[in-house]
Amino acid sequence: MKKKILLLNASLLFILGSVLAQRAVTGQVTSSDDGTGIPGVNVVLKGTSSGTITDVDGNFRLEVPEAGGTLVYTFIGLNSQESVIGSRSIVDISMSADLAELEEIVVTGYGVQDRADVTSAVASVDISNMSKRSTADVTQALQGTVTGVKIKYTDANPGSAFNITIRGVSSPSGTSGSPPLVVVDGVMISGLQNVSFENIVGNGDGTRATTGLENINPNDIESMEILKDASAAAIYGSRAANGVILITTKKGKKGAPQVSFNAELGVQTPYKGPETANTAQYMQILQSMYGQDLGGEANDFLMPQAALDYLENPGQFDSYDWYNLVYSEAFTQTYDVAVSGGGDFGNYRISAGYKDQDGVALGTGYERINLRANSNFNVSKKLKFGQSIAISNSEVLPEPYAFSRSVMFKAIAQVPHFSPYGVNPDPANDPSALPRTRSFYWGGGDNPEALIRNPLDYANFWSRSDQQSTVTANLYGEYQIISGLKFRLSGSYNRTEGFFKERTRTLSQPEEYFNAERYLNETEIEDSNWNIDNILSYNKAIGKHNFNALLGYVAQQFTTRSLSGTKELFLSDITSTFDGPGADPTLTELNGSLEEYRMTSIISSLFYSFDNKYTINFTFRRDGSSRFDESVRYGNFPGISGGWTLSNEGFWKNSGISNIVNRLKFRASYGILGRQVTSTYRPQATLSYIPYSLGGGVVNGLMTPGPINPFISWEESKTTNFGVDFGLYQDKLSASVDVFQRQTAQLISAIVIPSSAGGGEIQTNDGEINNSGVELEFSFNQDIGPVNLNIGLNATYIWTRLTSIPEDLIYGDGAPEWDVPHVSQTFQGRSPGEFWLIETDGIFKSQAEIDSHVSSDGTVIQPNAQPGDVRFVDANDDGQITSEPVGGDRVFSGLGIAPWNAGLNINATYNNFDLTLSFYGNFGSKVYNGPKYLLEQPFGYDNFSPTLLGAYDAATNPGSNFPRNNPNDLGENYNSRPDSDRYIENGNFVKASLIQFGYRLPMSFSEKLGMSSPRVYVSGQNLFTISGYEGIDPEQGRDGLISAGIDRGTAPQFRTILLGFSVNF
Amino acid sequence: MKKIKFIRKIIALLFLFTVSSCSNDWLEIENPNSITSGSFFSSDDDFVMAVNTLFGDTEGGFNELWYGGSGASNLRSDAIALAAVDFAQLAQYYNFNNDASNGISDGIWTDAYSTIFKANTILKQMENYTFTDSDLSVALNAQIHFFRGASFFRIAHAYGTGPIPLDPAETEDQFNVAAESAENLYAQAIQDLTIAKADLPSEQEEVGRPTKGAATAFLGKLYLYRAGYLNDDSSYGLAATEFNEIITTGGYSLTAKWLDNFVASTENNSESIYEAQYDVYSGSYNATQQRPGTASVPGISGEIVFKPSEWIFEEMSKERDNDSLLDVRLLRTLYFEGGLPLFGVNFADLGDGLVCASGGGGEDDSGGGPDCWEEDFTGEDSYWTSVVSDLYPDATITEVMLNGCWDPVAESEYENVTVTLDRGCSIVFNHWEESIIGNGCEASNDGGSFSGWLRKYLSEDLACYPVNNVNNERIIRYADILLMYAEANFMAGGNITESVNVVNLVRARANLLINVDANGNSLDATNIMDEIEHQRVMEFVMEGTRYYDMIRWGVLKERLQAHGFPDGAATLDEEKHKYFPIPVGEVLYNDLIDQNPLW
Repeated sequence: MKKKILLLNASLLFILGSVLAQRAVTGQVTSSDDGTGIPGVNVVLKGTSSGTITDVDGNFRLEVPEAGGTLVYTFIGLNSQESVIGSRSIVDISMSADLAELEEIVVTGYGVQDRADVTSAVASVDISNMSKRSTADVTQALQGTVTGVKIKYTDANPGSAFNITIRGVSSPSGTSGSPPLVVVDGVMISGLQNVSFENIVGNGDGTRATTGLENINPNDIESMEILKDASAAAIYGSRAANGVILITTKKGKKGAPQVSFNAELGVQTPYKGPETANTAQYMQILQSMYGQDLGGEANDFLMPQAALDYLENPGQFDSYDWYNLVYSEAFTQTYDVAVSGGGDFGNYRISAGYKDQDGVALGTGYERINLRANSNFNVSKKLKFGQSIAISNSEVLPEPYAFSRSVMFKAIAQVPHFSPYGVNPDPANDPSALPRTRSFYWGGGDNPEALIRNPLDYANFWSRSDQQSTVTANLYGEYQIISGLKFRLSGSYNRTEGFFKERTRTLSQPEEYFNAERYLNETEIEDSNWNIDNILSYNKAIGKHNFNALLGYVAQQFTTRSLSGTKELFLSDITSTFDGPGADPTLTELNGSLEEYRMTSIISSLFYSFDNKYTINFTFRRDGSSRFDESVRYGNFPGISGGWTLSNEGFWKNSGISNIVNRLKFRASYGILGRQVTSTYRPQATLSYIPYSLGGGVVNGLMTPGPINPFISWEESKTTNFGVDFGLYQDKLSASVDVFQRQTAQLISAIVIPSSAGGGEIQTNDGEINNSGVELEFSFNQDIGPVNLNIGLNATYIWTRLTSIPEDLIYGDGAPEWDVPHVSQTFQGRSPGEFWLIETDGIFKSQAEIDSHVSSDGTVIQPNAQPGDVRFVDANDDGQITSEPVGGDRVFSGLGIAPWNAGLNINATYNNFDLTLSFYGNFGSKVYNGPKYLLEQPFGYDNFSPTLLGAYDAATNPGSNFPRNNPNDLGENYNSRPDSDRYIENGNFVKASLIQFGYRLPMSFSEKLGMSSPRVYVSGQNLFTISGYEGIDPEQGRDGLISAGIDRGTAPQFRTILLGFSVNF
Repeated sequence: MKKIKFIRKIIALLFLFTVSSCSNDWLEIENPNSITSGSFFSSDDDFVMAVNTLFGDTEGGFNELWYGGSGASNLRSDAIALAAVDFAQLAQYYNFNNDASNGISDGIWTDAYSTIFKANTILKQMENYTFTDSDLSVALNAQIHFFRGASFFRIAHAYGTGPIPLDPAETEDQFNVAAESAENLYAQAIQDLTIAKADLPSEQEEVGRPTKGAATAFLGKLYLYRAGYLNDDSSYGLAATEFNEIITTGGYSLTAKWLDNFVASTENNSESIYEAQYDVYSGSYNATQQRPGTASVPGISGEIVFKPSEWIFEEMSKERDNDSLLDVRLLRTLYFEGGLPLFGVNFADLGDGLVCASGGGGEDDSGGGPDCWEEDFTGEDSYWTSVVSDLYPDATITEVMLNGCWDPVAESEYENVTVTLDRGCSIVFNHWEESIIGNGCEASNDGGSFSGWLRKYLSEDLACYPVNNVNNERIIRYADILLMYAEANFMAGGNITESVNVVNLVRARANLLINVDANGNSLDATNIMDEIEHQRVMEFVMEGTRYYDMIRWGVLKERLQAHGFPDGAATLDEEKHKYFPIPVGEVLYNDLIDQNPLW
C-alpha cells in the first residue's frame, strides 16, 4: 500500500508543483576545463523531485518556489555541485571532472563493475549511436557497432530473423549457427525456435531460430553489454557458451516526471534487382537457342504457347518488369512514448512503442506493439524491491509461399511478356483481373510446365501470418544483511506465444498443379521459461583492498508446447477457422508436442583488487541438466581472469610518459563453459511408428531405431583472452586490443552410419572447433573549433578451424535448396562454409583448343566440347571433369564466411546540429551469385540474363568470351554447371548503415512550446553499398556450415529514408 | 534489531529450501512424445508390429526397392521418355551421362539395406524370445526371410556387389562391412527365399502378406536374372522349375480383363502374386501408403516426369486383335488427351482411346460423363485452313472437324479444331485462343507436340483420378510368371511347346490369335524369344522390368539405338551401366567398400 501512495505522491507533486506560485530560474552549466556548456546535466531542486536536464549548450530553465532553494547538479563523470538560488534568477555554474568516476559502469553477470575493474572480454554497446538506427529488430542495429559480434540478416523481409555470431562459428550443428544468450534485466529470454516457415531461409530445415531480441523495443534499452569470453559469461553457464547479450532497460531517474516522445516516418525502397531480359531480348535469346521458329531440332523443351504466340504477333505483347511488380516502395512508421521519474522512494518508468513496417516484397509486413513498466522501491535502507514487466505483440506477414523457391527467383525467372493480370491481349476472357495462375497459356495442353509460378497469384492465393506475443516479468527483493552483504532473491518468467496461420483459397483454375485448396493450418507454440535466482553477495573495501564475493543457486525450467492442425477442402473461401463447414475428414491432421527440460546450477565468483592496480577474478559454476543421462548430468565450469593497470603505478604516473599514455591496462582470462545442444530429453531409443495396410485395413507397425548413444553430455568451450586497453592524450584516443582463442571440444556431432549398416546417425561427444582472432577498437574524441568530433572504429579478424569433426561432416551435394545447390562444403581441419568448385579457364575458341586440352596422360578432357564451351580445369588430372565432393575436380575457391569484419562510426556536433555516419563491412570472403547462375542457364524458357545476348557464336560473335547458348547444355557439356567457379564473386563490401543529420531546436523556441530538447532529424539507412558484387547485395547467406555466402535470391535489402522527431516534456 | 534477525532467518530458510530442492529427481523428465524402446520385443504382438514395418521400405519413392511403376528403372527403358529436362539430375541419369554422385539410383540401395537392418534386428531379438504362439514364430520368421532375401537379390542385380550383414550393427566398429560378390549376394538371397518358400502359407489370412507363391516367384526371378547377369546358363533350369511349380500348383490364373490388374476395385485378384498395398492417404505420417505420382498426366497432379516413347506406341500398335481393334493393352497403357492425335495417328483411328478433359473430372461410367459435340467445317474457308495452308503449302486438307466437350464434374469445357491433311496427319487448334495445341504432322519424340501420356494405374472408373491414388502396385503378377517361364524353359533347352503354350495364354487374354507371333508367323524356336520380348513390352510398360530385361539379354545399347534414344545409346557403356554406382554416401562412410570399378 505504501508503494502505491508513493507513486501517487509523485504524480501529485507534479500536479501541485504547477499550481503553486512559482518563478523561473535559468542558467548555464559549463565545464571547468574549457568553459563550454555541458549538455545533459541533471539539475534538481534539492528536497523535491522537480528538476530538468541541460540542453545541448548546457542551458537550463527550472520553475522554483518564490523562496528559491538549492539546486543540485549531477552528471556521471563530473563532481556533483550544489548552489543556493537565493533571489537570483540566473544561476550559472561550472563543473569539474570527477576522475574517480570517469570510468563507466559495466553490467556484468549478476552485478556491475567499474570498467577499470573489468578483466575479461566485455564490450559495451554505444547505445546513443545504436539507437539512432531505426530497425524493427535491435539485432540489426548492432551491425558494425561491436568488435567480435557479427550480425547477418537471413532475408530482408520485415520480421525475419537475424544471425548473431559472437567470435565465430563454434557449433557444427548444421545451419542453426551459434546464437548467444540474451538476458534482459536478469531474465533469460528466448525466441521461438520451432515456427515452421516453409518459405523463409531461416534454419535450413524450415524453422527459424530467434534470440528473443526481436521482441524488445529498442527505445527501452539503457545499456547493452556483450560478454564474449568464457570468464565473463561463465556466470550464465551452459547457455552462455556462444556469448551473452546483457540488456538493462531504462529506469526512472530521480526527479519530476518526464515524458519523452519520439516519432519516425519513412519510406523504404528496394535495391535494384538483377538485370533480366525484356520481351524483345528474351525472344532473341530463345531464338538463338531454339531457332527462329523456336522449334529447333534439339529442342527438348516444349515451347510455351505464349512464346509461339509472340512470334505470331509481337505487337500484342508488352514487356513486364517482374522484379518491380514484386518489390516496390513501402512505408514505415514508429512511435514511442515514455513516462519516468523517481525520488527517494525509488523510481519508475512506463513506456509504450508502436512500429509498423510494410515490406518491400509483395504482401509482407511487420507490426509490433511494446509495453514496459519498470519500478524499484526502497522500502527501507536495507530492503529494496523491484519489478519489470514487458509485453509485446507482433505480427509478421511473410512472403507468399513459393514452393520452397525464392519469391525473387520466381519474379526474375518469369517470362517477360507474360501478363501478370488476365489474358493478354484479350482481357475480356479474364474479367476478374485476378493474377493469372500459371506462367503460360494452358492452351498447349501438352505443356504442364508450371514451375515459374506467378508470384502475384500466390500472394493472392495464400495468406499467412505469424503472430507472437511475449510476456517477460521479473520481480526481485534485495536485503542488505550487514554493510556490504546482500541477499537477492529474484524470480523471472518469460513466455512467448506464437500463433502461425496459413490458408489458401479456391484455385482459380482447377487444373493447377497444386491441390491444397481451401486449406487452413493453425499452429500455436508456447515457449516459456522461468528461473529463480538466490544470490548472496559481499562487497568490502579495506584500505586499498577491494573484495567482492558472490554465491548463488539458480533453478530453471524451459517448456515448449505446440499444437498444430490442418484441414482442407472447406466448403467456402469465406470461412477461415476450423469450424468452417465442409472440410474433407481424410485430410484433417492434428499434431502436438511438449518439450521440457530443467537445470539447476550453483554459481560463485570472487573478485579482489588492490589499489586499482591489480585485479583478479575467479568464477565457478556447477550445472545439472535434465537433458543428460544421470551418469553424465553434471558439469563443472571454472573461470579466472586478472588485470594489471600499469598506468596506475607510481613510476608510470611520475614519468613523463603518462602525459602521452595516460591509461594502460593488461588483461588476461581463461574459462570453460558447457553447452547442451542435444534434443530436449535425455537420449533414449524411441520406437518409430510405421503403419501399413494389410488385409484391407491398417495394421500398426512399431520398430526400434538404429543404435543410439545414451551418454551424450556437455560440450565444452575453453576461452583464453588477452587484452590491452590504453588511452592517449587524456583519452582523446583510446583503444582496446583483444586476442583470443576459443576451443570448443566434445562437440556433439553425428557419425553417419553407412546405409548398408542400416543408415542414420549416431551421436558422439567428439569433435572440436577452434576460433581464434583479434579484436581492435579505437575511439577518437576531439573538438575542432566548435565541432565536436567522435570517431569509433572497430575491426575483427576471426579464424575458424574445424579441427576435429567426424570426417563425415561434408555437405555439398545434397538437394538444391531454393534452386541453388550447396556449393559450399565443410571439411575436417578447415574452415566452415568453404566454396569448393571446379575451376574454369575461359572458353574454347576452336576445335584445336579442345583437342589440346588434355590431361598429363594425353586424354582429351572434354572430347564432346564444341567451340564456345567452357574449358574446365581437370584438377585431379584423371582426364575427365567430375564433381564428387571428395576426389573430383572441385578445388578450394574461397571462404563463405568473411574473416574480417569492421565498423566505422562517426559523430559530429556543431552548435545545434549533429551528424552521424555509420558504416560496416566484411572482407575476405566470396559470394556465390545464385540469381546469376539461374538467369544465365542457356536452356529452358525461364527468363534470361541479357548477358546471353553476347554469347559466343562461331558465326556471329566469335570474339565473345561468354559460353555459347547451347540448349542441350545439361547434356555433354555442362557449361552452366552450378559447381563451377563461374558464379563466384568477390564478397568484400562496405555498407552505409546510417547517415543521420539532426537539428535540436533552440531553447528559446522550444521553451515557448513547453518542450525541452526537441530534435528533428532525417536519416538514411542502407543508402549505399560499395562492393564489386554484381548481384543485388553481397551480404548474403547464413553463416553456418553449408549456406555461408550463397546468394539464394532472398528478398532484397532496401534503403530507408526517415524523418524523425523527438521531444521531452 | 529483532526484526532484522527474523528476516535473516527467513532468508536463510528460503535459500536452504531452494538449494535442497536441487535433487536429482527434479532433473528426471520422461519424454511424453514417443514410446521408448526399453520394453519392446517382449510380446508376440511386438514382433508382429515390428515385422509390419518391413513392408514400408519396399515402395513409395521414385527409386523404390520393388520394381514399381515409377522407379528409376522405367526412366531408362526404351518405353519411356523424359518429359521435363529441367530436372538436371534426371536428365543426366536418363541420358547415361550421370556420375556416381547423381544419386537417382541410390534409393534402391538405402531401402534394401534398411529392410535388411530391420530384418536382422528382429531375427536377433527372436533368438532371445519364446513365442506363446509358436506357429506365429515360424510365420514371422518366414516373412522376415522373404523381405531380406528379396532385398539381397535386388542389391545383387542392381549393384553387382554389396555387403551381406546378417546381424544388426550396434557399435561403431560394426558399421563398416566389406562388399561381397554378386554370387554371394545371390546365394544369400536364395538361402533366405528358400526358408520363406518353405514356411510361408499359400494363402495369407491378412491379404498383402507374402505367400509361398510370392517367395517362389522371387526365387524363380532371381535364377532368371542370375542366368542373364552372370552368364550362368545353369540357372535357367532352376528358374523354370520354380515358375513351373507356380503354374502347376500355385492356383493362379490370368484375369479375364487385363485392366483388372491396374484398378483399385480388383486388387489382389487371381493374377496377383505379390502387391504393394496402398491405402487411404490421410495426412502425413498417419497414412499407410499411396501411389507415387511420377507418371502423371498433365492437369491432374504431380510433376510430369515420364511420357511414353514414340517407339512404345509403334510397338504396341503393331498388331490388331481378333476384332481388328488396337490391342487393349495399348489403350490402357497410354492416355490420349482431349482427342488429340498421338504421334500423328488420328484419334479416331485408335478406337477406344480414353478421353479425359483437362481438369480432373473425366469419363464417368455412371452416366454423368462429358457432354460432347462435333461440327464439320471441311471445305470451308477459315482461320485454321489458312494457317495450315501457310504451314504446308503442298498439302491438301481432307477434313476440318470441331470437337467440343463439356465436363460437368470438372466444370470445364473445350473446343478443339482438328485439321487433317492428306498425308494422314492432323493439326489441332484451340478454338478460342486460335492457337496450335498439337501438331501431329511434325510430331517427334524429342519435341514438337504429341499428346500421349501414361495412364497405367489411372483407374478405369476414374480415368482422370489423381495419380496419387490408393491403387495397389502389382509387384509380380501371373502374366510375368508365364512369360518368365516361357523364357527360362526355352533357354534351358526345354520343350518349345511348353513355352508356346504359356505365351498363348498371354496372347489369348489380349484377344490375339494363338500360336503366332506379333507378325503373324507361327511361333517356334526362331521367334519365341522375340515374341516373349514383345509380350513383355505389351504387358509391363511402367512395371519396372524392361530396363533389367534389356540388360540381362545384353541388348540395352542396341535397343536404345534402334528405338529412338540415340543420345542415351551413344553415352551408354554397357559394361559400366550394367550396374548402378554404389551411393556416394556409402563409399564415403563405409571404409571397407570401394566404388564399382567403372564408376
